[in-house]
Amino acid sequence: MIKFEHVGLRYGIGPEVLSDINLTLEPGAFRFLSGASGAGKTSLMSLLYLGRKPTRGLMTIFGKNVGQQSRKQLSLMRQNIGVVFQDYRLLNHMSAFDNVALPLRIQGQSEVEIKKNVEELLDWVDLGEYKNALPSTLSGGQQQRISIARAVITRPRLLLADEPTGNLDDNIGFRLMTLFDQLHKMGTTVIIASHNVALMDKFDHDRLILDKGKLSVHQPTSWIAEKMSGIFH
Amino acid sequence: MDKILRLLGLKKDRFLGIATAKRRYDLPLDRNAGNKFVKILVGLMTVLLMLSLSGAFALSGLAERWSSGLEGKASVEIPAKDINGILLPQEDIKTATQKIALMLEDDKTIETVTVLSEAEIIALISPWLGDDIDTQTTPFPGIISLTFYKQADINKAALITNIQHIAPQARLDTHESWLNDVLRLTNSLRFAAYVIVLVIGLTTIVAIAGAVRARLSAYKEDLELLHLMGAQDNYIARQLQRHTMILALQGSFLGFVFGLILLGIMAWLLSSKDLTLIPEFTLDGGQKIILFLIPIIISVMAMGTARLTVLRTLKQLP
Ligand SMILES: Nc1ncnc2c1ncn2[C@@H]1O[C@H](COP(=O)(O)OP(=O)(O)O)[C@@H](O)[C@H]1O
Ligand SMILES: [Mg+2]
Repeated sequence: MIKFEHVGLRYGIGPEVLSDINLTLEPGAFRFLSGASGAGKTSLMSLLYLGRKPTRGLMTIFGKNVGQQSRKQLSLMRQNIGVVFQDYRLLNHMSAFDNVALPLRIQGQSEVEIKKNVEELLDWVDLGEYKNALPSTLSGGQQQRISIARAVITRPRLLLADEPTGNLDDNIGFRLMTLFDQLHKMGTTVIIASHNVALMDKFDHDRLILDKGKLSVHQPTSWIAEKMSGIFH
Repeated sequence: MDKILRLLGLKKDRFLGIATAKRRYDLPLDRNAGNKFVKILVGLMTVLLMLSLSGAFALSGLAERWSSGLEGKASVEIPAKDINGILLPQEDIKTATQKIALMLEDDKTIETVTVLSEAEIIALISPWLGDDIDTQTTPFPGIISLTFYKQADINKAALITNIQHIAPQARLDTHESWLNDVLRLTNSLRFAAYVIVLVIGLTTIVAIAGAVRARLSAYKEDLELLHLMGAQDNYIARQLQRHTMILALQGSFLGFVFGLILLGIMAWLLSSKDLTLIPEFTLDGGQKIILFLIPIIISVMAMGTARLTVLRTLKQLP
């Protein structure tokens, strides 16, 4: 499904912000991506949503070598990737409804289907009554929920969320994690970048840990074992 | 009717920038100061194109009419003074003129021979000598106007020899050198007019490309977002090219109306004077069609330019 082999990324002529990333994810995996601010979480996400080309290494997504895909194939791959950006990236001239409907319209779905699905999902994230509101009139948390709805409306094969619970209170944050969990159970591969340890602890998923551009994998059991051993010694 | 008003920009296009089932713009294209720029630019370019093209067409007609009007025509002048500058009696001139006319009438290549009467000659020279010419004292030249058969094989040298055999001071004028000068002048003017047409066309393309590029950089983030959602280049280009086409149609239609009014005024100014040298300002059917097509051609050009510019900008995204 996803395979990184010796992937590196640098911005311009700067140092490598990601170096020698090796990663294999089976279809339907659920991973947290944790790491301090500036560790490269957002940069790794941008490689995953095909917003950037790696400066070295081999990237395979949906079983396809990304470097060998045509422009058209790349955009079709992007249609199968849902992204919750750290800064939401809503279109400010469009209503909440139109923002959420956008990926469906890009994929050419019928307006009847769009209306039904978008309204249902907006209700689900508690924004049903704000469907005609412009994003600038909504709170940070509400904007974030729109961006989450927009990312999942197409039922993507790969869902990437960059600090999706950053602006949400724990209750709604937990509910959204449950939504991601449901999508995961339907077969979606999910990667969530977060530094909210308390929230991650509530779910039993492997963690990818980024530290200064290097990636390592921790399984919850060993994670807990480590903590425990720390307590006992 | 609503649709027409909207296309002309007299009614706000509610489709611009507002999401509806069919005509949707993902970028806030309607809220941009650049719209007015594109409209005005295209309008002005339409007027300039119409004027320069009609100028080129009119010059073509002029050159054609001048050459066909004078082609095959010549005149013979028998001056009142002989080659030594000595004034000849009026009777001698008249006799020589008659003789030459008879000789010319026998020539196989010449169709008509007309000896100009005294009154006609006075009419011709009065602009230079004034109206009160004393026909008794002023020596009169003889003038014969003639036309050759079309496609006749004219032997000009032999003709001159024959004429000067009768009156050594007589001259044959085929208007050739004068006509050539005029034709060269109108041809270079026409060339200049076509160059102007070309320059205006290129200017329009460059300016529209600039306007579209400015717009794209204003919406850079939104554009990138659409790209990341899997929008294909064509999907994005279609929106900008449709938008540009509507603006260009609005601008060029207003420019077209204004251009027609200007051309009408010019045609009226030219026809209301008694100008014998400048033929009437008229256009043939094909030329009229081209003029009427200008707004459409310019709008399609604007659309194509917008499309190419968008596609080129999008190629910079991975
Ligand atoms: N667009 C960019 N241009 C240049 N440097 C960048 C850019 N984005 C991020 N960086 C740098 O890359 C490093 C990793 O940043 P980022 O991926 O945003 O980390 P995180 O999301 O974990 O906080 C940081 O040092 C940051 O300054
Ligand atoms: Mg980040």
